Amino acid sequence: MTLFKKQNYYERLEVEPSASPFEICQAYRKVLQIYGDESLANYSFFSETERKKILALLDEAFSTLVNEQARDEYDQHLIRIEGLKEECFYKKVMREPVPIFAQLQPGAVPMPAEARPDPSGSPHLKNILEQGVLAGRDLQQIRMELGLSLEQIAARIKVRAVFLRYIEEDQFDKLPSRLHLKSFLTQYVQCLQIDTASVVERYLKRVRD
Amino acid sequence: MTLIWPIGGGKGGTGKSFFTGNLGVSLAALGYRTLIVDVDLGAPNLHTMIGLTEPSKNLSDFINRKTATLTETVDETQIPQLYLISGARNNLDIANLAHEQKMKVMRAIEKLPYDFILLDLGAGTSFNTIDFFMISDSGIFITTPEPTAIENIYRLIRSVYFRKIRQVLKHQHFQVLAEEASKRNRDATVNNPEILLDMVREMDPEQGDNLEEALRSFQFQLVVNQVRRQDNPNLGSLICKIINKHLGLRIAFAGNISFDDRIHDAVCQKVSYLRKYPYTQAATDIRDICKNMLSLVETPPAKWGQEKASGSE
Repeated sequence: MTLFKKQNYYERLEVEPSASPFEICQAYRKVLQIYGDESLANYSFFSETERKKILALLDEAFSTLVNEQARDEYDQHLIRIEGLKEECFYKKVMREPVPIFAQLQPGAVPMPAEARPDPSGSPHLKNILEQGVLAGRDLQQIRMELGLSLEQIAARIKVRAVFLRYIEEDQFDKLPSRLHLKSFLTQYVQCLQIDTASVVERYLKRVRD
Repeated sequence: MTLIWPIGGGKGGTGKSFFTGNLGVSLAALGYRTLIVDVDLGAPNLHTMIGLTEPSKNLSDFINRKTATLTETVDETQIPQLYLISGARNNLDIANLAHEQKMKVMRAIEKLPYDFILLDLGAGTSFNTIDFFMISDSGIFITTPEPTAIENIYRLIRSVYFRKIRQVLKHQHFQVLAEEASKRNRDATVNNPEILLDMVREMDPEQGDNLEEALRSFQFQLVVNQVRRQDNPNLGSLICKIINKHLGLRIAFAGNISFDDRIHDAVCQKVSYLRKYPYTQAATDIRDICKNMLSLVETPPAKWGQEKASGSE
């Protein structure tokens, strides 16, 4: 009891001050296994009032640390009263997500999404997109205009480049099935970031006719 | 060097004698010269666990001076390297052993030439049981995953802890402390020995450090017996965590022993379980626990055979 009262919230839950919210939840679950109502391990070791007090102290620690704002304030408070090092708090060591796709697949060149021009901005593309029926050649032109290679798209959507070439050359019969055609085409058009549903529809019109 | 491991359990029927016998068998199988002593004076039955139904000698021979030395009361068993001091035909009044006689037995036990000496203690927390824990820096507690057994194991551990504090502090100092504690909290000495440690720290920080260090030098181990499939396998480590955190005692979880109906069969047949059913889960558990316990010993004794062999070279 006295043990818990003297400890700071991190010590109560037995986590590092740099622990992530996930780790804090795990630690809380762990202490409940020891002090919780269901636990057999604490039977008769503590009196009921003693255990309830311990649980209340643990709840206090947990409810503060899972709340981002409250934790921030508590950290500031700790830094002030205990002179704990500021660097070791979660906020300081927390890292942003890192893109790992490129590291995992060295062969795949990431698509320069931000650098791509808006297709609706170019008058040439506008003309193509306004056509009632679209041919493979038209898609190819849009792709070239956007500065994308077939291989880049193939790597992104995980479809072999040769199938994409068949689509651009209107050789539908060389694809495994009509279903594949629709699926590959949809993903391909999605990569171009143009109105997918309508473009796919206008392309497939010719297949059906 | 001889390692003495008292084995206690608080509640009856948690498997103290069963575990003592079979731990003895596995230590002997590893090549350690092992002695198991039945100090459950009132209700001895360790001999039955290892298949010795009628031991020729017993502990009370030594207490009653029928034999001059304790060594003479040692029985050989059917298992190589395993020896037994049984309590099979102890006098009926031996359960209430006088303090002097107990000290005589303990001093004699300490001098016996074995690698391991396992003491099978009785149930309960009477002096007869607790005192045998004072003989060693280590000890094994055994419990089952049931509230009754857990209640008693905590009681036993607290009693041992309380006695250890008494042992470390000088008598006078302890009296002062106990009075002070009972002033502050009526239950302090009996139910919460941990308050004593807090108070020593407060009243005399240096003494508090000494006491804490002394308590840290003990290394206890916990075994959870009769673990059924529906039981929480982590119970033992949770119990150790509580004791460690709130009593400041070093106690390590040595492992679970699975529940097995064949243990009952082996006991009924009056044979050692490990030898009768060596390939069952519970037998594997016991051997694993034995290895765990050896790994926790800082300097395990050299195996008797090797010692002899290297001596003759």
